[in-house]
Amino acid sequence: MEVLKIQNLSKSYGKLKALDDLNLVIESGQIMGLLGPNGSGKTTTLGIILGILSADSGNYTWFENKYDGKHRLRIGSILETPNFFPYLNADQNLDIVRQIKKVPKQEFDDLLELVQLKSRRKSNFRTFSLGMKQRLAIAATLIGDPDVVIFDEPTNGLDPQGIMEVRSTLSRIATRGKTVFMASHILDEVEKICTHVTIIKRGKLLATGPVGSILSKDLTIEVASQNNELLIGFLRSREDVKNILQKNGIVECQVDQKLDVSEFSKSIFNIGIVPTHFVARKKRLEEEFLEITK
Amino acid sequence: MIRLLKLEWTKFRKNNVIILMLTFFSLFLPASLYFTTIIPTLPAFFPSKESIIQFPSIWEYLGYAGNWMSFFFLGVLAIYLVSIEINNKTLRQSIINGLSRQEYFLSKVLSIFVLSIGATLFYTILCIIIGIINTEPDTLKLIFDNAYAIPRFFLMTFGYLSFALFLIFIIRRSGIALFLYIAYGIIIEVLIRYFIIEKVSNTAITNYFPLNSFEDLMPNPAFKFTESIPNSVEFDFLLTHQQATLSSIIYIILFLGISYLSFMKRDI
Repeated sequence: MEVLKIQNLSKSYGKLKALDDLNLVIESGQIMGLLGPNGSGKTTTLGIILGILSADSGNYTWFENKYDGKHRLRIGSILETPNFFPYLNADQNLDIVRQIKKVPKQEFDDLLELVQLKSRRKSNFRTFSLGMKQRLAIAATLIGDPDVVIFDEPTNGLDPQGIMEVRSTLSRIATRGKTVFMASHILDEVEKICTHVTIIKRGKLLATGPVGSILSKDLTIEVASQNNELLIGFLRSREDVKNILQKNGIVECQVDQKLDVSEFSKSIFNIGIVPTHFVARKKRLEEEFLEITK
Repeated sequence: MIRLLKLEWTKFRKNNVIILMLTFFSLFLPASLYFTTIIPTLPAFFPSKESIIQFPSIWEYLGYAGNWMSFFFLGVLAIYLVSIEINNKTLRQSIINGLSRQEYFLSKVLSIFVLSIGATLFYTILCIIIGIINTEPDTLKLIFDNAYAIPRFFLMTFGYLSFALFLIFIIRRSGIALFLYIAYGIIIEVLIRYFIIEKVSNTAITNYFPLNSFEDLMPNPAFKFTESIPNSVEFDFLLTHQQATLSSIIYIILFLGISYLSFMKRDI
């Protein structure tokens, strides 16, 4: 089922084109990462599909229907920062979200357990650390058991401990079978959590699909030796090796992922080069992202 | 509607600023009446000091005191009800969570409606209590002689709060909205009226300005007495109650209507 379908969405702020004819489909059960450099239109995209910004042109549908109040109750979301009343405690703030979502009165034990805030449920929001605020916001998105959860830069501004806590919370949510749409510019985060990824830049769609399909089929090989010139000459002589470059004394190149790596390393030995460093790794999303958005 | 009011109650029942504003309103309203009674000498055209706290004129005096109190404390509170949500971004979060823009706007209108009802009830109870204590038993039959002041008090309060809501929904900056609200009420409208009076011969038209219309629902009783002095002034100070009621209703519809259209259309 198509949970969200965005068609030809455009939005400008004065002369600045924030979204330029964006198209995107998210299917049920996907964990979609929306990637893009700062100012690429991620938050604008989310703002439009959540009804707080209006598009100049184009449209979108939720659950294969036009966006309306009923559908919004099936979506849990935080946009940018966690937004709560500072003078109310965690329970009271969650109760406001519960009332908006027309969910029967309930305790929030499970949710607060999930985000590890049960012991601080009676503390005022203003006394929370940024990580705790973010986790409370994540708990709020899950009220009413929504079909879709949307996060915008969920680890923004957090310290390493906070990032770890939020990531582990997101991973737990992902295992609950929800459709997740997450905007981020932290590629590592998307690579670890998401099943699918969409990359945009200056409001334009650059790539979309499963993370595996976005990642290149190539392997990256790093080799260092006492004689890098000879090594580079050897690599250039092979047809199955491409994109050879030297960085900080390490020669890096790309080969097809089907290449037998042990055979490849033997061939280097065979010409009399003894590698002091040899690593074969799949290309990371970060590298792919940088290449796509270049 | 009950759901929206419950939501507003959950949001604001523990808010110290709101509690403080309501406390000020509740304390200063009776206190202002008390201070009037301890002024050593009133202008000659005023009736006796005692009449201020007696039926039926207490409705007018306390109403006029309420005019100021509603403008300041409740008006500021109305701006605060929205501005705190803009500043904490709970407004946009409410929409994201599933509240429609119509519902959000209605929740704020309901809030100022309930505030106006509450203020009117308080004013009514206060008038009755103070009036009964200070009125001679044989004149107590006058108790409801001026009671039509009650709906006018409500309309006046609702008018001020609608104007406050209008400013914060249009401007969306708490400081600027608050400044404009107070500055317009105290000086800007007065200045505009003054310049129009200077240029235009038909001066009565300036009485129809928005805040003056609200004010004339519960006017300063002193104007009534000065108008009764022959040849003391060259134009009407006040709108009649009917004129003030009609123009206030029109302004309330305009303020809330424009706020609604703006809120529905603009990005949040």
